Amino acid sequence: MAKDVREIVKEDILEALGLEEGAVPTTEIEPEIKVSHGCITRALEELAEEAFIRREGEFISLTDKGREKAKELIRKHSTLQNYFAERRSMEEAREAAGLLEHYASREVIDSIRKLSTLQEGLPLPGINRSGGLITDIVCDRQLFERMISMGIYPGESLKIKNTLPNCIVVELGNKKFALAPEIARNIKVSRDEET
Amino acid sequence: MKKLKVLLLGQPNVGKSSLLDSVAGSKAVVSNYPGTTVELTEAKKKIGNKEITFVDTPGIYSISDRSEEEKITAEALLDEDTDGAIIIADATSLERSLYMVLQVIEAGVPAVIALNFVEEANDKGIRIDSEKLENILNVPVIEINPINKTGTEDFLDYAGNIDQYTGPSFEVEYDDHIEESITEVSAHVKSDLPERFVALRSLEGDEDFYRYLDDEGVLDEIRQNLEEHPEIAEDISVTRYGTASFLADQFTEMIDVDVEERRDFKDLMDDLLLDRLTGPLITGISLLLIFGLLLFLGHWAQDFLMGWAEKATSTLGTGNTYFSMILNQGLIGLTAGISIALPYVFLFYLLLGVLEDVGVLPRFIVNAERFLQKLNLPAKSFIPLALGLGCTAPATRATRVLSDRSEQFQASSFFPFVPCSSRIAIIMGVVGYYGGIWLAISVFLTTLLAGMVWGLGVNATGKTEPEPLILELPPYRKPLFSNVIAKSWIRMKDFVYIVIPLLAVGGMVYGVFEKTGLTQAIIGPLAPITRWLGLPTAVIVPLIFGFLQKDLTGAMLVSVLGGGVASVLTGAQLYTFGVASVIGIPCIIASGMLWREFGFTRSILLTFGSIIYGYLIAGIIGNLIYLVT
Repeated sequence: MAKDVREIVKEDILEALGLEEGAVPTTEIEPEIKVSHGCITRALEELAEEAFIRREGEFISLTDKGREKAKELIRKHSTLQNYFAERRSMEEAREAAGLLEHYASREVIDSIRKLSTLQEGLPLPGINRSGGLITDIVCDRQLFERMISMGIYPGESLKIKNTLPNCIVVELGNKKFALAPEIARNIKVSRDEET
Repeated sequence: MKKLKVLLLGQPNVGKSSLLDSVAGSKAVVSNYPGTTVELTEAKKKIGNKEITFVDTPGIYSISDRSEEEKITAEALLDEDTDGAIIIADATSLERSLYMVLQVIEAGVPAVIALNFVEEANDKGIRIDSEKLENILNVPVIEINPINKTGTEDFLDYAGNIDQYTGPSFEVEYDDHIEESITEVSAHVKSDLPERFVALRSLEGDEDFYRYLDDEGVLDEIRQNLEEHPEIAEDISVTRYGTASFLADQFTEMIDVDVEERRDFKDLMDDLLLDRLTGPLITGISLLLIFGLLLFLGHWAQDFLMGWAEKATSTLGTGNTYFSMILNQGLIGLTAGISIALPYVFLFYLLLGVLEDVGVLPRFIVNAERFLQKLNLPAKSFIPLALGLGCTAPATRATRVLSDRSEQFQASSFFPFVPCSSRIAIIMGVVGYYGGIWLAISVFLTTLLAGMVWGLGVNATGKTEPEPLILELPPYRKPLFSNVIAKSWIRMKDFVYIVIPLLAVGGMVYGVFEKTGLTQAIIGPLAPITRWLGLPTAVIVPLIFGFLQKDLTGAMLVSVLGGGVASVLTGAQLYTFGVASVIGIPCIIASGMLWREFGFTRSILLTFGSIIYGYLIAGIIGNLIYLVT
């Protein structure tokens, strides 16, 4: 599964551009990618040929096609980084993610995402911040369907609005619900802050 | 004439009844679905040569077998008389409404989607491409607004042709292994219903659908499967919701509008109403204010109506014949009922309806649940108990919103402590009038405390936990007044057609007892009761005969004591009289309503149990006061 170094550099460039707004001078991109100047120049030429980027003198910017690609890469990166952040230091996690993202297929990323969110889930009443992603709902079938049909669904992001002695008031999308602690306990919410 | 039956489906607060009201007017009929406790509202509308019967169903999120409401709705949906269903969808969160749309499509019932709250969605930057939605689902989509009646004509047009939308619609695709099971089960379906639908419902574990399968072996397999892989049922609903959410994504465009960040009045309202301290406080104060307003307005209306009634009775003459005596008492009973209860009860139901439609009531329910929980009552019992402050009889019927009989009866067992308009009239008009406001308040408080002690007793009988709270808090909205009036009228119906005539009958029966001297005859044998209560012997008449016609209690008291109530009864006696006449199932009408709902034995037990309990409390406190002073 070895990938051409230049391919990796190209992906890194797209990713770096994806994090910036509009056109960026090449000199700003170079320090972030730790390879030779020549290697970067060739990668940029190829990216322009493949219509991922536009070059205007010293400035480069993403085309629509490039922006799509960059978004996908960034998503991959953050999934991996989150996964490793659980197990290693932040710096190590960033490195591991930066390395793996170029090799991992979409399927692998998807399962890693699943795996990491499943492990991250905390019961809703136990989290002490304003909300997160629902990772899972663990309860009997009828209550499960009830919640699903109301729109309380794994993957939805949830905000805690108020906590009362008899219930937790949460907001999902445009809807608000009052949930008894017995109900809320079944809802597992991600450890990371999500918006 | 062609007749069509069209079901209106939708989540709670999605505007179903407003829509029904805006298209068909407020001549809705409440009907009981055979053999159940859930009520459906029907309204007929004629267009051209067609008569459409719209059936308003309880607000639900899905058609499954969790609650009575869902069961009934599913039954109504699959009824062969039903020609189609219109699903009212909330444009501000389409994916949540599409879940039920997909279920209806799976059931093979002709469907139309009516999109409500489109303007509200637009304000939030949500644009829905209803044409695209229509094409993909192959189901007509119309935009409606019951408030300004937009889309009403379209709506009626589609409703009138609903039986023609039978074309093949969108199909949710499940995972391969689920699809395999669906194919397998489908082969054994013996029913007019779509095979795929029956197979799905069976796989989801809905036992009502097992009877459509012709093979015991398949059934066993399904049951075993469910036991070993309960996630199959979950996977089905997850996939359905996932599809709904995917579809909604396809047709919804988000436009950035700067409304998100601005905190407005509504957020402030929720901060206050859903706070652990201010929430219950505001709920309590609001209820007291409503109470005060009603007492004020009710008093005013009563003065006006009583004046009119006195004129009417005096022109009838005061002959001493049986006929005139009975007629007179009947008329007095009728006018007392109408003048005390009607303005008060109707106003109260109206205000409650406004609070409900504005969206404040669900917040009140959340706050009240903290208290109801202690009495082991579910949150949903708030509405029937609140209605009990109007009249106990229709409130008894309103307990049908609760999911099972024992919960309904449990909630009803608190009506003895929820003073209805007639009992409030005794507290204010007799105790308060002759003994002062503080004495009236102490009767209120005694009733409340007695109710709490009663609640402890009911809990001790070992009732299971009430259903935990899971309640949607709808956004605050402007109420549609014609809808509020229609709803209050539906709640008032029992009162007008059953309670008011019976009030007249109660008065007449009392007239007969008076004339024949029977009222005097019971004074002797029942003297121990008044002795226990420390009251003059004659007071037994309003206590006992008040049960026939509660609104006459005050008048009976005045007549047996010969006018000077304040000079005959001491403050303590007024208090005892108040407590004894307030606590308990108030009258024969309420008792009859309990009989209808819960059977003879339970009705008698609750009625007599609560009345004896009230007399005991009144007597104990009365005797204590006597000992101390």
